[in-house]
Amino acid sequence: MDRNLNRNMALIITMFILVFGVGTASAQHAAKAQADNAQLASVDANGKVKTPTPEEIQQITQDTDKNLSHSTKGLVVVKREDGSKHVDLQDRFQAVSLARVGADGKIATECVTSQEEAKKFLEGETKPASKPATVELETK
Amino acid sequence: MMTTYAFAGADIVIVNVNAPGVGFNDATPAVPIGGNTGTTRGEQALNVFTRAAQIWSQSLDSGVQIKVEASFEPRTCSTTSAVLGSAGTKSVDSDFAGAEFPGTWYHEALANKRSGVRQTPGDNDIRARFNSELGKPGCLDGTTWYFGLDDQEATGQIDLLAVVLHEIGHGLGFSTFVNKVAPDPAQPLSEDNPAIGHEFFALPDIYERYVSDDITGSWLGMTDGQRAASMVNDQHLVWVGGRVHSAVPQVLSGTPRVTVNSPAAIAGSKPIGTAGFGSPLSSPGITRDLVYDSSLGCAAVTPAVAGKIALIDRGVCTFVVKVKNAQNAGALAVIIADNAPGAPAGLGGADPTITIPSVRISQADGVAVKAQLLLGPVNVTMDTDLTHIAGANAALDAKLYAPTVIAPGSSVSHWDVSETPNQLMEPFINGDLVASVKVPKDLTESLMRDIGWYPDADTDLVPDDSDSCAGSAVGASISIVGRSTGVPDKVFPNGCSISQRIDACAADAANHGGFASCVAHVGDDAKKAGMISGAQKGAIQSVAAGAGIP
Repeated sequence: MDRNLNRNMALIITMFILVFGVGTASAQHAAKAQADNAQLASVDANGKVKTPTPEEIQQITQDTDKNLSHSTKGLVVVKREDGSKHVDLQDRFQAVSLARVGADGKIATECVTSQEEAKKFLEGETKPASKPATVELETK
Repeated sequence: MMTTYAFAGADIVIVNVNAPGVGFNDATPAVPIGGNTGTTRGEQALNVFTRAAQIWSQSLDSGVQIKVEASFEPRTCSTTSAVLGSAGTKSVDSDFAGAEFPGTWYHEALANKRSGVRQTPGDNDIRARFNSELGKPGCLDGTTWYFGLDDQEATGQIDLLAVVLHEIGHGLGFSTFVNKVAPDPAQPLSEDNPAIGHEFFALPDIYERYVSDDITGSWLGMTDGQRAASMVNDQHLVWVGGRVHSAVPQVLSGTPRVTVNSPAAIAGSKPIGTAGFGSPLSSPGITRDLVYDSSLGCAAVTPAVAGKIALIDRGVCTFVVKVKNAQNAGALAVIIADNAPGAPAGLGGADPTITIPSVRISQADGVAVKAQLLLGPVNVTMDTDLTHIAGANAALDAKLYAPTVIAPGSSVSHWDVSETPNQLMEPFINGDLVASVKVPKDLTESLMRDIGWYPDADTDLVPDDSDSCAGSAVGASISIVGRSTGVPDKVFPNGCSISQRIDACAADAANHGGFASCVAHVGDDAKKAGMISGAQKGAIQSVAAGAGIP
């Protein structure tokens, strides 16, 4: 039963991608390409596309915690004889590219520069500012 | 194990810090793809990094090698999410010789470039760690890296080159160090627990100097609280550097429009829907008389449209068929008149052989235009309005990403997502990106110029636009007809080296006395400029005196 459900869900997603993914045109300004890289995502026992769990999100935030840290705690401003200053950032203040499966089964990617931003993206709450929606256009 | 890969003549190196057998050294066989000739997985990954370094090296000049400490290693991932990679500058510097602004933090590679010396000898400039596990079981199953170098990733692939290019861009200077993380409320505010908007160790950074809010002003004059508010002031955070400002009209698209120029009865701009096929409208665009084909254009379009703009009614066949037939008849562009009331939507469809632009106008406008065509010519311009650019404000300053929905902790260190066409340094790695950082494709090189990556082909620390002498070679001992003076060569503020001026003396001298006198004059100038000592001036003159010139 579950297997059939999964198969049916996969078929529905495939059809969705074929119908809307291929048939959708991007008009100038009306739609701009995103990192859709459409793929057939795995689905759970209820036929729902699997998205990151809280545990998976926590694992990623642990991995990126140091890179995305904005803390200056422990960083040292070294003053040189010539008057210049130097700070070793110790792998902090970096940018991190993340990927996740969205509710639509597609892979989304985003580059983040803070842990807050990373969590919002992984939890699927990021709504790009002013990102024009992809519009299905009439063809005739 | 550490292996350094470098290009001949380039100045960016990938320092491979992977252990033998893993990451860049993974010997798993791989089939060459998309211009990547590597035959192992590790070699292909390294080739991608090398290509990214090559692209950046074509835009940035530095007399100090830029060292990217890179590894291709396991990062956290699951079936539904993954860390693709991270990168950033390893350290920052301020108040070094050559800094354009005092009291300002610079990314390490930029500080090295501007000072002409490595600020931290022995250290690398950028750290980059990317996920080697993508596509392996349990790591975003069904999605793999694309190792090709041609932007041709397929469905289910993520273009490694675009991601690496993007992240290295942050390390080179496309990032601010202004705090975006909420402080611990249980602790008093301090440098260790700063407020959102607080500058890194209370100094601005070079990126921040060009960040401005088009309502509240430059970040430099703001309080921490004002910067915190500005970083989520969506659509109002902009980049105010001059190079980007100049590049905006060349890179970003204006708003497409159709304007009826005559007759006066219907003149003016008309609402349009744009096409998802053919070429987009551009500036200055196309100005021609309209030619109406009442046949619907499904079989053929009248040859009268040749060299003109075709007007065709919607209906019966697809938009693609109508536009292709008009193109075949020689039309320069097509306007489709809607056959149903309402605002004109876009034109859907796909045909890569269509090269002309096309738009849809409303049924009402179509009726009005056709009525005028019965009375005489209708002249139309199809172009883009450069005063309304997608991704820039009215002053043509490019917008930065400042989404209110992510507060606190919004980005700032990216272009806004409204930029069209998509830009490399938007927060989303878009599938339609091309591997370019230059105008007319991308604004990133212009931003790098704004923060101080000035063009300097001979890396003599004199910008090319004020350098009177190309190819100045500094550092080596000054030699006259093959005899070394033992004095290190240096460059005058106009970009000419001591050697180059002595060479000019040799070329212009009528006799040996004239040559010696000219060299003495050069030595005086160099000594006055603090470039050489009196003893060094004497050494130069001594060698010149013994040279058989002319």
